Amino acid sequence: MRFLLLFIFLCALQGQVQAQQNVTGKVTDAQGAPLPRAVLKAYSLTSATKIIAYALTDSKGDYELKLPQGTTQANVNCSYMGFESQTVKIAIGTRKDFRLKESNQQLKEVVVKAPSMRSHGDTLTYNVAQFKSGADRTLLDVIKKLPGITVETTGTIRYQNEPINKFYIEDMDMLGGRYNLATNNINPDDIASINVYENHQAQKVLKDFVMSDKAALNIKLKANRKSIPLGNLMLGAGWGDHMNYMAELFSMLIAANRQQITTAKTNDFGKSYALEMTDYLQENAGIKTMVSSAFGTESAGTADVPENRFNDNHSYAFSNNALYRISNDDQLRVNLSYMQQRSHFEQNSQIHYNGMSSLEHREDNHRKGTQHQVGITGQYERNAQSVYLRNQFQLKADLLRNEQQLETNNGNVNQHQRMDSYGLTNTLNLTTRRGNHMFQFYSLVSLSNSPKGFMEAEMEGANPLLQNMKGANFYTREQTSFTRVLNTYWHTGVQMRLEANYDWVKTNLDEYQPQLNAENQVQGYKADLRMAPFLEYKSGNRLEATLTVPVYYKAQRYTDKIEHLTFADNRPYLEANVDVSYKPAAGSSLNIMAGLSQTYGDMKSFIKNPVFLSYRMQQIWGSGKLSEGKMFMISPRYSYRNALLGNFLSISGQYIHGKNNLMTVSDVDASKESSTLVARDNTSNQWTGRLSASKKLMDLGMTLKLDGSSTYLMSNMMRQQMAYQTRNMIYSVRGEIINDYFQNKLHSDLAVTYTGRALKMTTNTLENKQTIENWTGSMRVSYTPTDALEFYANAYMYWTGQEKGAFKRANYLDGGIRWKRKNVEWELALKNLTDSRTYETHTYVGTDAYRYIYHLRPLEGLLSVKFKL
Amino acid sequence: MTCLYTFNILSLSDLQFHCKSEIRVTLYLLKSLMNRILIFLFCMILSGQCFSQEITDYWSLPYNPPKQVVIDKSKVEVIYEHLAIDPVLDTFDPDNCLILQTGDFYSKFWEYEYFRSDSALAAYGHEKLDRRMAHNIHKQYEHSHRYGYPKFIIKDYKENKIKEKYYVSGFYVFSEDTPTISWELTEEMDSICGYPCIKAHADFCGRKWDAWFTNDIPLSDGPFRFQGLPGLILKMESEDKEHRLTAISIRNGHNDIYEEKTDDYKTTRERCRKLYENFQLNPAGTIDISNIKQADGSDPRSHMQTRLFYNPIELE
Repeated sequence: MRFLLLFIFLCALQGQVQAQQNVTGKVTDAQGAPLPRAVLKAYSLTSATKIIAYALTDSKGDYELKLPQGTTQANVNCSYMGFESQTVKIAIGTRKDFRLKESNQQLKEVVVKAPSMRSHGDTLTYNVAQFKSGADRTLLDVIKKLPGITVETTGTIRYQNEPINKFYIEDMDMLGGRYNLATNNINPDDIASINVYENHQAQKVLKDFVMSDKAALNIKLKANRKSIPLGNLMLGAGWGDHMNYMAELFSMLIAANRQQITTAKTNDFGKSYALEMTDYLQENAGIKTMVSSAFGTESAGTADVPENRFNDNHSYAFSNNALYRISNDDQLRVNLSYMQQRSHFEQNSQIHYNGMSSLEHREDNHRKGTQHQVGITGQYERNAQSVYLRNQFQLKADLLRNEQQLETNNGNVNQHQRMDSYGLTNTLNLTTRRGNHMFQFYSLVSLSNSPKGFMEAEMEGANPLLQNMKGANFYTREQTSFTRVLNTYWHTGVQMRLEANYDWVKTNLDEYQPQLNAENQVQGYKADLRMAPFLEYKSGNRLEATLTVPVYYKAQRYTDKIEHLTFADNRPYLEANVDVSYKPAAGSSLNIMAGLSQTYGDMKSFIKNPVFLSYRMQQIWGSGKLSEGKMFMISPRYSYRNALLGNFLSISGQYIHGKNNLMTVSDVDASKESSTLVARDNTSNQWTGRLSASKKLMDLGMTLKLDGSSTYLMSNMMRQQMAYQTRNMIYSVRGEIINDYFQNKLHSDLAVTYTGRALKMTTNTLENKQTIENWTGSMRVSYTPTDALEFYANAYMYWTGQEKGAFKRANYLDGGIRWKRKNVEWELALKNLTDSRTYETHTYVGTDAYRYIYHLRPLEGLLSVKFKL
Repeated sequence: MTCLYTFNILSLSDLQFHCKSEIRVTLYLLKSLMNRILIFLFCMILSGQCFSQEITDYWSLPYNPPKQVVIDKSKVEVIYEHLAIDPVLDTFDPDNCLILQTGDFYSKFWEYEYFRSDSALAAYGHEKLDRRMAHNIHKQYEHSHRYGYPKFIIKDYKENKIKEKYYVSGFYVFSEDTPTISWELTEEMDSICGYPCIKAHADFCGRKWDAWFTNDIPLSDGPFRFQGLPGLILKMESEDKEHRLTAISIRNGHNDIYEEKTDDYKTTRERCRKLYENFQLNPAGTIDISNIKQADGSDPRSHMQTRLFYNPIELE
């Protein structure tokens, strides 16, 4: 029996052996030298892609292909790197020698991870040379093109839809939040790379301890641009309605232990320097009196066209920023800035008040505004592994003057507004860590004063108005926290915070209006003690969750000096917050924040008498009752990036449900618009969504960007004794394509934005629904036949309409020539080639429809020369 | 803690090239009286060396890298990105790049950043550099040591051998026959870096792998120890998704393939694997720091991370 089995087994084996029919042979080059490691592949005759067997030659060039059972013939391909491959039909069991011819054919070289972007852990590096083109003047032009980064029209830089939290030059923070001072001026040719530090924690002490979901930007100079002075001087003269001028000086020095940026600029060519002077990080919120922001600084309304098209200006700006590195960890920083902005706007506006009886108001506005801004900042920072210490001192002054001549349906008005404000802030920050214990202390003291503010209006056929307003504020925040590391995963601790606010406001209407009781003088304090125990779970770099349950004790006491009334309120309350971050894979992260909170009003609730902000806008800030509310908020966010493939995606949403005990009452009649608050329950719901996606197509060098956002707000208000439910919806989509053609000689940037606004007001009996649609398109084309020459044209279109198809259209064209020779650059820039003189826009402000007509700057040109260091 | 840092930095990054500095480090670490006597005796023996140490600044000594022996010229160079996850620590290794240089008879697989800093040093000229300059150049390339993976894998196709070099405070080298991997070809196709690739499957050293190779580059090579397919491997993925290697750059080679002559400990694959596992799972256990105390009196080992990233390519 055993023998029988063995026999059967051997028979079976025999079959197998016989089935493995072989093809053997030798592979040599044309001279007959053997080629080791040549690849032989056998394909079945029926399929050109199916490999049925393969083999490699040995060191003598011999091979043996073992083909599967049932094969009688096969196509055998022989290939060797650097030689032409051969394919022949071979019958099984034969011998075939290959003699390969050398080929000059080179490998198709590919770089998927083009050096344009690289990621290393949480650091993403953009290679500026890969994004820069001959058309870019400043670093900002390059940053705008980077996938994953968005620059808003307001100047805020966002990475994956979140505003950045720090801006560094060579890993040193010289400018604080005024990063546009660097991005708007630095020549991209001086920059080697831009880094994004994801989840950036600025304090070394807190690294790996307290995570941040924000990113920081760092710019790195080329090695040969460091330690030498860089910069440029630009002088220009032009013509339009009148002669124009522009003179700008920028100088920069970036060395290992010292950094400096100085700018001095002036122009009357429509260019505002506000973007460069704005602090986008606003670590401490500056001047805080209740009246300091009563008057606007800009034109009325918001326009899609940039301000430089309608702003008849004189602007001056000066800034000096210096940073000294005393030792490896210690830095000293001083920033000085001064800005003066004189603007002249001409506008027509028309307001359509919705409600039971709809009203319209028209005015022609000639507005001359002057704004002076002074800022001084001094900062010492020690950022070491075991301790973080920072003290920042800030001084600010903001002086505003507006002079308006208005022609309205009720006659002519002359109106003056003035507001002077000063602020002083000191921030002290200390963090120490020892073993498993961490201690943090934060102290902010701020003093603000608005000693002089008034609104004066002389109206035809009515008594003149003189509204005075003054305010002062003292604010302090002391914060400390203790953290204990329980084990690798769990941390716990408590944060304590004391916030104290003292406010003083005095407003009065001058004796011209004796019939109105309109004097307010209120002062008082608000103190807020917060104890927040927290529990944190952290698993590797992947999951992090924090639960915070803050307990508050709030004490407020305000005194009305006119009516001799005192209001006091002391109460404890509780809130809860959850924050979960999860990284499913490299480059992607998911974050959910949710919280229940309470909102309480401040002294504004007790400023009960009207304040005139303009000749017809009368506001009553408080009802004499403290505003109280509850709020629930949840906001999920997902972001994904793959620098390798150039893909960036970020989606975020937010839902806020709020309940408040006060409701806004807006009353309108022919001569004035007033807003006040009444005690009435008010529920509001707000949904917000944001999407940002971008892709760099590596083979084409093209960057695609898509941004979308939508906001839906449901709330209640009253007008003319009638309660309305209002629903506002804004949705916008923006697409952009950036590309270079013809060996980087032609550059184009095409962007289209669609914005829709919808407003719905409902009562029990009435429903009113309106929509406005806006289309904005811009195309920038630049042709650089040589490195020295550039021709460019920018086309813009702005369409706005309330009914489908019935759009008000405005199109503009700019163009110019630029010529570079060594360190001198000549440029002729022409603006508004179509000489359009008006621009019309529609929008909703709350429940009301506004229409603005802007008077534009004419066709004008500027010839400038720029000397580069 | 400072002592510990000094020890770590020196021992892990520079010490392998500069054995002399070990003396300085040791001097720094051993502080008790007993040890001083020992050191004195030790110094007596090595007095000549010690004196030269005292008068010369370590950093201004000429840069003296290990000798490089050219073994082949690369024909094709592929840069792979390696993504790895440690399922126990629940972290992923930040994306690392590795380069495969393949020539006629040899191929070398090593860290791309290391390759770049080596090329930069060679471009400057070794003889013109001192140690400080060399160190700064190394630093420019963010050259980080990847523990748990071999420093070099050299495949010798003449002798059919594979040589691997590991580093755990010293170089460990072993050489063995090129393993035969029984690949199973599939008909699935994909495009990687613009090259049409065929998917193949194999079980290798305890993991199931999917590999994508291209017919267009007739070189039987791949990352780590992988080879044996009728074309170059451009992508590899383990079935458990703990490892993924993707080619991100393919170019014609023109560089020398060289081997660094270091003082190596000869060992075997099994022992090398074990050594590594021990080090990664309990790094504090491998260093003798019993004489060092924290300022608060505690054992510094209690502050050290108990486990480093550990997830080797080969599980057995």
